Amino acid sequence: MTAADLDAFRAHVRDWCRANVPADWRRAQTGAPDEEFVRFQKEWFQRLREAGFAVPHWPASWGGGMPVPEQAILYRELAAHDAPRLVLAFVAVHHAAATLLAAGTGEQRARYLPAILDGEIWAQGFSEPDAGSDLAALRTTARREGDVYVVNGQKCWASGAAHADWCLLLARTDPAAPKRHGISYLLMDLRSPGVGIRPTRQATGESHFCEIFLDDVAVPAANLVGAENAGWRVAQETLGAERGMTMLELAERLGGGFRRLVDRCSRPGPGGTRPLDDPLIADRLAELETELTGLRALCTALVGDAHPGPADASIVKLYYSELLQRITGFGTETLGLAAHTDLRKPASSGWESGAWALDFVASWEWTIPGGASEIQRTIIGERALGLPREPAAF
Amino acid sequence: MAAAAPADLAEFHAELRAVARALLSASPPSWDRITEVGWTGLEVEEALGGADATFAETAVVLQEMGRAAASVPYLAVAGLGVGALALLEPGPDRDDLLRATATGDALTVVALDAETTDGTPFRLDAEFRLHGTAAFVLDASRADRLLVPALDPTATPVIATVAAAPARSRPPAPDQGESPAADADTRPDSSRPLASTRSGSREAPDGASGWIGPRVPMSARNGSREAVEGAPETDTPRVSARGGSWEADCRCLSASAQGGSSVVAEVDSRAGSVAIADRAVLDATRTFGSVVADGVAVPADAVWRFRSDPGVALRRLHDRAAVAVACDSLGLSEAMLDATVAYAGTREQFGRRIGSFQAVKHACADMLVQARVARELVAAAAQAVAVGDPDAGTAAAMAKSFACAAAVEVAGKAMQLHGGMGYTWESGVHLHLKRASLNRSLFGAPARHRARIAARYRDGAP
Ligand SMILES: Cc1cc2nc3c(=O)[nH]c(=O)nc-3n(C[C@H](O)[C@H](O)[C@H](O)COP(=O)(O)OP(=O)(O)OC[C@H]3O[C@@H](n4cnc5c(N)ncnc54)[C@H](O)[C@@H]3O)c2cc1C
Repeated sequence: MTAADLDAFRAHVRDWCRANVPADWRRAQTGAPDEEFVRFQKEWFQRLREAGFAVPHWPASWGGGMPVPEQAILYRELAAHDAPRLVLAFVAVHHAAATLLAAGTGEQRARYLPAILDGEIWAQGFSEPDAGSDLAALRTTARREGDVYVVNGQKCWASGAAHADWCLLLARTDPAAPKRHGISYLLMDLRSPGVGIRPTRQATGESHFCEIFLDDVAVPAANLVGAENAGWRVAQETLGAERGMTMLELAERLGGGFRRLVDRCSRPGPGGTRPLDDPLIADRLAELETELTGLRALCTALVGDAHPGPADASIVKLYYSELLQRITGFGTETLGLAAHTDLRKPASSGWESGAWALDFVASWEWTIPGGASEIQRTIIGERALGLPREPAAF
Repeated sequence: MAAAAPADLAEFHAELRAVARALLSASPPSWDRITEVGWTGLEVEEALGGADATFAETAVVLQEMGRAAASVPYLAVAGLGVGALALLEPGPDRDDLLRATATGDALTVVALDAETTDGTPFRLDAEFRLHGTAAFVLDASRADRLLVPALDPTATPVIATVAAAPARSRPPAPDQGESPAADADTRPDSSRPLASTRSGSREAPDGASGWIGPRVPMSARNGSREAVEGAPETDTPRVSARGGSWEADCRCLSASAQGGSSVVAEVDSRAGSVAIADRAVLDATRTFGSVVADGVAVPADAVWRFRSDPGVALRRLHDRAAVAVACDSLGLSEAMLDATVAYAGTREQFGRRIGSFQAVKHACADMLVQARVARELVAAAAQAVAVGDPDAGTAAAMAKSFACAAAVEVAGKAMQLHGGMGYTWESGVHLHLKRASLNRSLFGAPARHRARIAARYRDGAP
């Protein structure tokens, strides 16, 4: 792909954004009721899909196939034009798709991937009250009875489950086996009888993550991904997607948020002076931009690498999440009390919405889940550096 | 008080802390109880119904307010209101207001711009009309008395006393929409403290647990209660806000010639107004109001003068504000450290308590080290403010910049180490994190205070 090709692609995306990004979606989505958020998300997804922008990272045969340099441009332009994010479809296009593409059968892919493009929403039901960092300690059981698994247990923190159709589920199928060897990976219809969903209120005041109660839920055996009791390995694909492919977009979004912050700092504050004229602030901004540039390069390298290192995804996830926290924390501190007056951020926006104090609180949505920072550091030390293992096995 | 032996003082502080912690563990803590037990009057002279203690004691309570993330106007009233009044020339009107503030009969708030570290945005013109805007004034919307630091026509700092309408009689400001972060269950009811202190039913503080602790090594103990009960009623006639207008009525305090009791007088609306509008913030434990004076005439007897060098007095007021917030942040840090250590000692993953993992243990150790350093800096600053040390400004800047930055880190680590549970609303960690990050900006961001510290280097310090 030549530089001219990339320039032409960039121009194409820019034209598309100018024609398609709704002008005042931020205002409309601020305080929007749930149904309106869901409607808007589904409509935006279809618009992106028509343009070929919804799942650029999928293989060409499933409707993707965009080269990585173009993906980077696409995400940068979407961020630069302040396009809404795909919040609701996140798990579907990343976690579910990555899992199915890596470990699903032909029939499973044919059933679920096109349906995702048509708007099916997925949630991830891995964590349990006593199985967070120690995911393999999960206790939800799936008992084979004829051609179904009968599932019982409780999941928690499942993001977006209240609006989801399907759930990526880990359950124990062999209670006698060592922790990781008795787990299976199932695709569960959230409308099945016996499924109860209860949203949990979060630090930001929103209620996106949910508890899922499972009471004798019948999941067809055909919905098993990978072999029975081999679910732990399949789950690594899901977690890898969380720590990997998603980052290309998120890094560009963070770049967009950084530009908004620079813009705010360029405008006169309460005393009439521009924050940017303060050399300390200018220095910190320059430092953060340098870090962002490093993050972008890490992400592009990770996504473009056919054989990433054993902890590359952890490196990117750790660096992204903590940089997000530094940038939102800096925005909060720099903009003073005014940064605390936004009591809610627009739905469909990202983790750098510009409601800085709220964004700062929400940055823990990246340092805690999907392997908390402490866990990532251990993984990096052990898998990338080959250091001796912790007494507790990962 | 200043003469008390250090050991007595430490013992007294420990008792005060224990009583405060117990009282504030009630949810939500009652402003009535807080004024009943005399914490608003800790620093006020006995003769005016106070306990004749010092800022060092107020600082102990302030710290507990932070620990509990209490949504009461203690910092505004005891930290700033009493502090400002004490800096003023005594006189019947000032004394009455100080007494009423000490006993909880008046909710006195200083219109100190919460984004500044010095000076004041308000001035009195040659006709003694008040001009200026403060975008954020802590608890302005709960106040019934505003003390507005202003420069008089000779650029001398003075205090213009202005009566404000109680917040509950104003409809919400236009920008205060319904918010997920500001729901009724956690949003402090800003009208409640006012409503209840207005009721006039001041019961005598109940002996054992009441007042400020059972064995106070200060002369004030016995006299003080009599002083309260024997004090003349200082209830101020209430003037209700004009219907429909959310602007505070333009009223100024003027004093009647004799009797010493203040009278609230309405100022002709043509003379302008002082407008207070609610400013909702993410930290639902705090309330702010913007204060706009657009030329309201202030009677000469409602302009009160500082008892000593006015520039120094205003400087001291800012230092008090900074140290008061530092105390609050220290309390937040200690609460988050305690909660995290408790959680890490019980939560199990990988068949072990998570506190046994070095990553968790080391993070907790760092939290402790930060809290300990903060505690030392805050104690030194509180003491410097209490004794009126001329170098209090430096100690205040160090305490404010360190303790408030540390609290954000400590509360952030607390959220991290509580895992998904810490990110829930229910856990309450978010309350401390939001309050800590607000505190960091309150009365000057760390960089502003560090700039003050560094400014001394030009003069050859330290
Ligand atoms: C906003 C949000 C969204 C989420 N979305 C989903 C979702 O969609 N689906 C899903 O399945 N789950 C989801 N989760 C759950 C998330 O993956 C878990 O919260 C995470 O794995 C941590 O587990 P825990 O909450 O049980 O914390 P714990 O495992 O109890 O950890 C508490 C603290 O101890 C530390 N710790 C634990 N073990 C070790 C160790 N061995 N060494 C060092 N430190 C250790 C952790 O790093 C953490 O700081 C979400 C969580 C959040 C906050």
